Amino acid sequence: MMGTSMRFLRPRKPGPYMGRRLLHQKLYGNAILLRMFYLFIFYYALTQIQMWGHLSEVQSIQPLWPAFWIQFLPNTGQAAQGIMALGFTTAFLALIAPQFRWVRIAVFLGLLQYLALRYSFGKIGHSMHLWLLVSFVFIFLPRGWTQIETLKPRSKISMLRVIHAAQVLVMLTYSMSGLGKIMGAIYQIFRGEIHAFHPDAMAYHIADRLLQTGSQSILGEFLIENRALTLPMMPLTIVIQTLALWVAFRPSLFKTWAIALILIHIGTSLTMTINFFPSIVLLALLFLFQKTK
Amino acid sequence: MKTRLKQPLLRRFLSGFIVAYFFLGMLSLATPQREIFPFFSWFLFPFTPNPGSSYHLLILEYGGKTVDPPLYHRELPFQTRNIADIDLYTTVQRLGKALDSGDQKRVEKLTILIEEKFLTLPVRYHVMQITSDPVEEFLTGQREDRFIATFSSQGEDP
Repeated sequence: MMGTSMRFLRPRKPGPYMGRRLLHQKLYGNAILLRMFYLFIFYYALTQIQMWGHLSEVQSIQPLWPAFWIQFLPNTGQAAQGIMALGFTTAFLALIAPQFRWVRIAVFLGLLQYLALRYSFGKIGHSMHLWLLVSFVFIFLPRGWTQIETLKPRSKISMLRVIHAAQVLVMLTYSMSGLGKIMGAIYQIFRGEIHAFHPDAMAYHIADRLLQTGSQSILGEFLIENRALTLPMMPLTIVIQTLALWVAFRPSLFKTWAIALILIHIGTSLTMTINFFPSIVLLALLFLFQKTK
Repeated sequence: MKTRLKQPLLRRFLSGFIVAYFFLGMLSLATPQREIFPFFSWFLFPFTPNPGSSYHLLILEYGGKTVDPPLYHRELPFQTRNIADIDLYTTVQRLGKALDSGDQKRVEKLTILIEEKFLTLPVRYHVMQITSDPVEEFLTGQREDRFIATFSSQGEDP
């Protein structure tokens, strides 16, 4: 029963036999991408240095569960600086020695603590969630993954499996997002409200967001004034997002879908000033730069 | 010799984690914050905005300087505020709901949070409720403003 219902998730045909040379090329490519993954986490840690003074001054905190312990300390500011130091140190370690599993565990914990602290002041942001989740999956990379030529066959398969799990996880989140929009639209249709498939849906999203923050976007005002241009945007976004999980099992579509999802992120930035730049980098690493043939 | 490589443990663990993430993400919708960090439903913009009400801060005094005429926080010059700060907007919505329900303890907590994290002290402001059609308001400025309460960084104004 389960096997039948999940059949749509499997590749339509068995993949072509991957020769040894091709497999090595793919593994080498992945090893480089994995190092770039940890390089980006280090870069992110560098960009957060500016938060040092700000976080240390705030006294009113509603800690998320990973940082629950912070409320028991007498000096919230020093604890916040401690978490920042932990995040920076572990990110630096991952930059120079990602081959050690304890380092990958440490970078996951450092990122978990830092993001929990960052989002302990009311609203939880989501631009780094995928990086955190993927850093958890990468803990399970096999021993010796940085030296492909001496990697055992079993470990080579493990390496590919872990990377594919990260790909599936990332695409799952996009499908969940698409599913949410479909469910929301059905709910709003029954309530007689403007919904995601309404011709002006995107214009309402853009106007509402710009009014909330008082920000100006590059394309926002133009698209609200020319609403007809926004007509296909919401339905296209919903289709691309919802089918993402299906694509995670079809390597031949990786690049196309990565480009489409990246364009959606760029679009939300240009219209609503919502920036998911870290997710763009992750899509590029996991799908756009992947060797799929 | 062709060897079949079986790694059921890793495969099952990773598959289990992905499935668990999906279900925990969905279950997190039932929590007050609609998220059990980092498990999240990814229901980003599930609802299309409709004509309705939202809460905003009308600034009377900012960084010790009188703002005359008073301006909404979102209308303050870019140099003096955090540009595009959705965190402030979200927190102000929670403050507005707390004021409507008369939850004084929550109001106090949220005003301290807002003043410390988002505003330049000393500050004095009204909490206002704005009712509008977002597209109409954006294009024509048409809206209804309703006064809710006044606060200053020294506490609530009588």
